[in-house]
Amino acid sequence: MTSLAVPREARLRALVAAHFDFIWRVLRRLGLERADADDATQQVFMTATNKLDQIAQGNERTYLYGVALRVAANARRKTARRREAPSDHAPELHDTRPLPDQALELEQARALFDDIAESLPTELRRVLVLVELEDLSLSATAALEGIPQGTAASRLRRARALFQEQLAARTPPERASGGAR
Amino acid sequence: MTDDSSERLPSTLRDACRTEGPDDALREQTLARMLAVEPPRRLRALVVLVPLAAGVALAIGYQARPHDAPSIGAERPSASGASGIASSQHATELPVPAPTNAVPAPVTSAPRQETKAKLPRALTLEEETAALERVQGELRAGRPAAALAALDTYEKGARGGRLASEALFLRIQALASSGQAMRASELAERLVRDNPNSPLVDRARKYVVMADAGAGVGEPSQVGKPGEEP
Repeated sequence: MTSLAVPREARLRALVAAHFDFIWRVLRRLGLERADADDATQQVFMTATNKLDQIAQGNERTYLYGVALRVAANARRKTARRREAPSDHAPELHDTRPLPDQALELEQARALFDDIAESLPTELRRVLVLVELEDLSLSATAALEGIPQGTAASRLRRARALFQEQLAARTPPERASGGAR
Repeated sequence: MTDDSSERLPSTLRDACRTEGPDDALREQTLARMLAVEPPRRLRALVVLVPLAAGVALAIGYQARPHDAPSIGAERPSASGASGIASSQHATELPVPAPTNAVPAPVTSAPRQETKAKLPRALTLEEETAALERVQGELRAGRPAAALAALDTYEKGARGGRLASEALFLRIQALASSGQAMRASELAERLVRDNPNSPLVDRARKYVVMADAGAGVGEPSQVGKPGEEP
């Protein structure tokens, strides 16, 4: 009796259950602050809700990812404008509340990743995030990015090389300076 | 899987990034907002018309042939008048009592108003969601009987509700948890049959398989936890 109406509700729930965390993490690793990632994720899912009947079954993740990239780009532009505005303090990337040691280490590791990732070309950064952090296969990554698998592999190699280079460039001087002081 | 021809990032960095996630409250809040969005007009019309048509068919069907399952298509001839029934092939198939068809026109309008007056106010989507969350809470707390009671209450208030298949899936879980495996299996079969495109189909099917395999009563081990999001 209600089989025509029910799938929409069930599909929305399935959308959130399967992809909400993925989209949020991708947005975070594409450079959005936590609060901005929260807003952007909501925006992505509200867009999907409004266009649900246009999203092919099985194509949900690709659709959400595409919307997320556009939303992330807009959010980053807004953030850049905010940073251009005069401010008395340096930009705070993270919550300043005291953290337990382990949480602090995780936070620092994330900050390091984000800092290095920020220096990568966007298309390399995206592939790196999908493969390294989300454990997607190259074919799944290529499908999400809408590029051939060979291109995805090439981007991944370059992204890893650049990342390792940056990591190596940052780690020793920090240790050296820490030891000198 | 992934390309290992280049050096992977340090696991400390990867793990740190993977452990970060959104707050549960954000997820719930977003879902609530999504569910509150009205479906497009075309779907909205179906949501209204399908249950309405079914209600009309029920009303007419019970008048015309109380022992048969109501069917919109089968009832059309009776609504169009006695002559229509007499001349159609359905007349030989359906034991419709002829005398009641003497006044065809009011048959469609009068029962509909009567049916509408008898039906309780339909639950809003938020009320339906809240009701099913209560059911999930009972299941998580290991109280399948209370979950079934809550489902009965939900179904009284939301006959033909928009979350009907989710309610059905929760009932299947509750029945399985309370040891009524065969009943759970029957309902699971119904869910699979009536909602072939539902995301719940695969999970519902496991209850059918479980029963077919003669796993006995009780909760199957291979299915999702009771009370988890359908």
